Order: sequence, then structure tokens, then C-alpha cells
Amino acid sequence: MNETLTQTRSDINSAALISIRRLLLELGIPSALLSPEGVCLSDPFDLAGTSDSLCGDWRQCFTQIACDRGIISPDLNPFETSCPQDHHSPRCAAAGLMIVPIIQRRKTVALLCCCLKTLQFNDSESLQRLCSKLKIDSSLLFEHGLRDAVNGPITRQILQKLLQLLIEKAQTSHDNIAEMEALGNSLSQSYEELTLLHTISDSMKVNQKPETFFDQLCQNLIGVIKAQKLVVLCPDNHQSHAGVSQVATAGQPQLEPALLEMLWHRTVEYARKNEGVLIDSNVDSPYTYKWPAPIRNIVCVPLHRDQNVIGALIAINKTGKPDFDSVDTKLLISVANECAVYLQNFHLYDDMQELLLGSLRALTSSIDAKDTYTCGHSERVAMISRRLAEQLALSAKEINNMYFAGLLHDVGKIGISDKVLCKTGRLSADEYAQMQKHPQIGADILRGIKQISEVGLAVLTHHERFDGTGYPHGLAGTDIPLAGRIVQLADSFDAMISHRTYRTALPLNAAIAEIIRFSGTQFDPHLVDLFLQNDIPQFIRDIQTVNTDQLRKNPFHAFTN
Amino acid sequence: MNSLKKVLVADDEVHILHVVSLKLRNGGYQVITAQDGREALELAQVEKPDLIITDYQMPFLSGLELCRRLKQIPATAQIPVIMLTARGFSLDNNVMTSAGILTCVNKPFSPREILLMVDDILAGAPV
Repeated sequence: MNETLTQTRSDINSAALISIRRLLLELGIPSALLSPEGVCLSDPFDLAGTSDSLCGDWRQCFTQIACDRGIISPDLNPFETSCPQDHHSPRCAAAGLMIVPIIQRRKTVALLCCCLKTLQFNDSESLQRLCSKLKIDSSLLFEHGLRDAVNGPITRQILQKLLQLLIEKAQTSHDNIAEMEALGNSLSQSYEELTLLHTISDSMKVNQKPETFFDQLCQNLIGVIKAQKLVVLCPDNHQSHAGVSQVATAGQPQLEPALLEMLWHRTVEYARKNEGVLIDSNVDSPYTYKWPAPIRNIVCVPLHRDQNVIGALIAINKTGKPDFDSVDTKLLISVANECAVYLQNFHLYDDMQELLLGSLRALTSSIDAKDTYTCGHSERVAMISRRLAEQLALSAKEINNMYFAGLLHDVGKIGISDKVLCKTGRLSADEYAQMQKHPQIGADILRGIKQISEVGLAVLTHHERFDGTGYPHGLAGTDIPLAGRIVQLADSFDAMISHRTYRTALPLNAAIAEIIRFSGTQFDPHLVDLFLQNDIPQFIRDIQTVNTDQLRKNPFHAFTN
Repeated sequence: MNSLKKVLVADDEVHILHVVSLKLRNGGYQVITAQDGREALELAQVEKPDLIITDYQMPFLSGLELCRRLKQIPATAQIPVIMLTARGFSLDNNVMTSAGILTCVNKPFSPREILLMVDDILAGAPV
């Protein structure tokens, strides 16, 4: 009850009413504010200091009138012509009490009580002032002898109505200003959110790592939503839900892994049961779950991909307010939707990469089924080719392509008959001619995949020799595409240091010596120089320890080498 | 009252004027507003604000033209300017320096960041 009163008091003592009461005082009308029940909310002295224009019983006077009226209704004519105290002092002679109901939102919230006893319009100066405030030409009044009429009851009725209108207008104006400010604040907040969503969209690159994206997101979001802590959780393996880790966070305090696990499980559970956002706090209703110490309010938004939950965006403890409101929740949901799109795309991109590499390896292992030498060999040639490409400072895309070129250089062998392919011992001239078709066959196989057309070129030319005595076309020097020259060197070198069906492996030094010997004839001399800059024994040890089973399990093993 | 720094905000979009004024007033600055380039030019000369925030696209006088004119008047040549531009639009650095524009901000912008920027500039920190 007291709270309501205080609220009303602050509404009423608004600038609007204060200025009205000041105006009245200037006109010689002291006023007081009473609650509808007759309790004095502000007395006439608070504006004027002392008011010797009022008798000492003003409070009783006003209160009695108000109480006599009972519950004041807006249509009641509150005009009262006689002073209820029935005083005989000269100041009470011209009695008059005017009560103006103050209406806010269709309810009478207070009564403005004005004592008109002292209103004298015999003094032309105060009349002049009144006229100028009401924007009436006072000379008209004097001319038509209305001076005395101004003192009469009709004027007072008019005055009362005017006053009521003035108060209403002042209140409306005051309310408008308050509303404008509220709208302004709300608009400002919307701007912040819009800017945030734009920033998120701008930074959504499909090949950007989740850690980077979410880190930036948390930093930007925490300021706008004013939470104490933000956490982004993702399951460790996006296909199974073995464990969960914190991908990014902002704010304090650090949360224990066990707590993160619990947050994840509750989010997922809630999402599956109710398909919704888990919002919990004890402000409007008791907690749904029991939460450990630092958590006071919490909003957990799941990130969906089809029917699975692929992540969670969690906000903990609103700062500056007791709880998160619906605006905060809506913002979190919008942001989470953007994140889900990003995460979905990132996973798809990941899946595509895996599919591509997996398919290529499947292709090369189909040859392994016939020729066990080729599979491990292709992988090693791929790695050597990639190393050379890195040394040449080619672009990331070109380096990647060189890896594929090495991997696929002998794919044409699938078109060579087993008789020739698996023959132990030397090949006859005829058989050799057949073998020489494998670069062309390989290039034809790969021709259909336009994304790796450079790879096809490498496959076609990996048996060309720098001096032009190679096959199939006898290209020479820089007419041989760079990719072909690279694979040629990688291929030959690995062949030398591997066991073949027709000879055993050469020792490393001998192989290096051979490379130097044929630099300029078989091999591109620039590439030879680059190759020799490596610590070859170490490099070879590294690549030979990669075995193919490892690669099938983790296709990106090669890239992290 | 005289110790409060004065900011002139010019934009033909009234809601932007409203949002920026509210934010800056709450941040302790005096704010005067203009709805077009001509009004902004007049106000800048009369009020001599400590900082100007202006939109690029405005009736009568563009934000850029406004800055150039102000640069030519000794009384207003030193006033720093923040320019509000549409997303994707940017001004050449030379153009900006010669017109006295400290920085460009894309719309929609974060009102919070605008306030921080104004605080920095008027406190003397480099932007």
C-alpha cells in the first residue's frame, strides 16, 4: 500500500504539476495536492515558503471537502462556494475552494485543491498578468466593464475548466517526453543488436575455425546483452556426443569442466523434451533445476542441425538487472540461429573435404589391390611434391593441388593389364610400350573433375624428361608444366629408395647422387637444387613412418605433418 | 553548464538524431541537432561545437561538402568530424584528412561505440 502511494506521489510531483502549481501561485492561488482519500501529498508551503494568504486551517478545509466528496468522479462539479470553516476573518470573506481532479490513465490519482479566497481581481496588475497568461486582451475586459465579473462564480467555473485542460495538456506533454525517451532507449538498444548481427554475418566465413568465430562473437555479444558470462559449448566430435568442450567464452568466472558438462546435458535434455530454450532463474518463479553457486540466472540456447543439437550458446547472470528479459532472450535466439547456420556450413565443408580426400584415397587404393607398391608410394610422392611446392612458395590452393597430383599420378595404372603391371623382372619392349600409356589413361580418368584439372596435367606429364626424351609427348624444359616436373622428381626419387619387383632399394646417398647426376637431363635443375636444400634423411624418415592405415582413420594426418 | 562539451549532430533521418542525442546527452554532453547540410553549416558557425557527427547523404549540402566548407572558415576549421556512411561505402584517406574527418562509421552503428568514440576524441585520445 505504501509502495503504491510513493509511486503515485512521484507521478504526481512531476515537473508538469509543479509548473502548474507555480503558475497558480503567480496568479495568487495557493494550491495543495491531496490523494483521492484525502491524504495530503504536498502542501501549499512547499512552493511558496510561507503563505500568509492562507488561513492556518487550510489542511482541514481541503481535506473536509475532499472527504465530503467521497470518491471523486471526473464529472462531479467540485466547485464550492462557501468556506466550510465558516471563518469570519476578512481573508475568508470571499470564499472559494476549487478542486481539480488529476486524471492519469482514466483514474483519478490526486486532487489539486486551490483556494480562491485570495483571488482578487481588483488589482489591475494581477488581472493583466492573468489575461496575458490566458492570452486574453485585458483592455477588452476593462472596456466592457468585466472587471467585476471576473470575480464572480462564472469566471471561477471557467477558470476551473481551463485549469483542468492546462493540467491535462501539461501531463500529456510530460508523458510524451517520457515516452519519447523510453522509445529512444529502446531504439538505441535495437541499433546495438542490429550492429551485432551485422558483425556476426560479416565474420561468417565457411572455412574460418569455430574457435575464432565464436571468440569474436562472445566478445561482441557480452557488451550488448550485459551478462556476466557467455559460453559456447560444442560436442567434441560432431557426430557422436562423447564429451563437450568450451569453444569460446567471455566474462567471469571460469567454469569447471564438470559444470560445463552439466550445462550441456541440461540444454540438450530440455531441447529434446520441449524443443526450446532453457531459461531459469528464481525471479518470477522458483528454479526449474538446482544450479551451483555462481549461477543466478541462465539462458541456454541450443544450436540445431536437423534433429541434432550441435552446440549451445549460454548466457549466465544478467548484470545491472535481476534477470534476463524477453528482449535479451530474443537476441540470444537470433544470434544462436546465425551461429547454427555457420556451424552447419562449417561441418558440411569439413565433411566435403573428408569425402573428397576419402574418395581420392579409395581411388588410389583400388590400384593397391593389384600393385602393393603403388599405394604407399603415391602417398610419399604426394608428400614430396607438396614439400617442393611449399619450397617454391606456391599458393595454398596450388600446394594442395600438388598433394593431390602426387597422390593420383599413377591412377592410370588401373588401365594396365595385370600381366604387365605385376610382372617380376624386366619388361619386353611391347610390355614397356603398354606401360607408357598410364599417364594418358590417368589424365583421361581425371578429365571429368574440373576442380582438379591441374592435377590431370601433372598426371599426364609426370614421365616427361627435362631434356625432351620422356613420354608420352616428348616435351622439354619449361614446356613441361611445373606440376609435372615436380611429380617427376618426387616419383623418381621415391622409386629409387624403394624396393621394386626388379631391383632392391638404393641407399639414400646413392639415390641423391643419381638425382644430381641426372639434374638437367631427366630432372629440372632448379627443382633439384631446392630438393637438396632439405634435410633429406630426416624428411624421408618422416614420410616413411606415415602408414596408410593411419591415413584412412585420420585423413587430415597428412596435412598436419 | 559551460563546462559541458558541445556536439552537433546532423542527419536527415530523425530517428538517428534522436538516438544519438539521447545517448550523448546521457553521456554528459550538450547536443544540438540539424536536419540538413545547410542548417548544419549555420549551426556550426553560430554554436561552434567541439565535435560534429554528420551523415554523408543530406539535403542541400552533403556531409563531405559541409566539412570542406567548415575547413575554409577559420572559426570552424579545427572542429573534428565523425562521418556516418552507408554500409560498404568508404572514403579515401586523403579525402578524409583534407576535410578534417577523423573517422567514418557504417550505419547501422552501435550507439554505445559512438559514445565511446566521442569520449575518446573529446578527451584528446587518438582515434
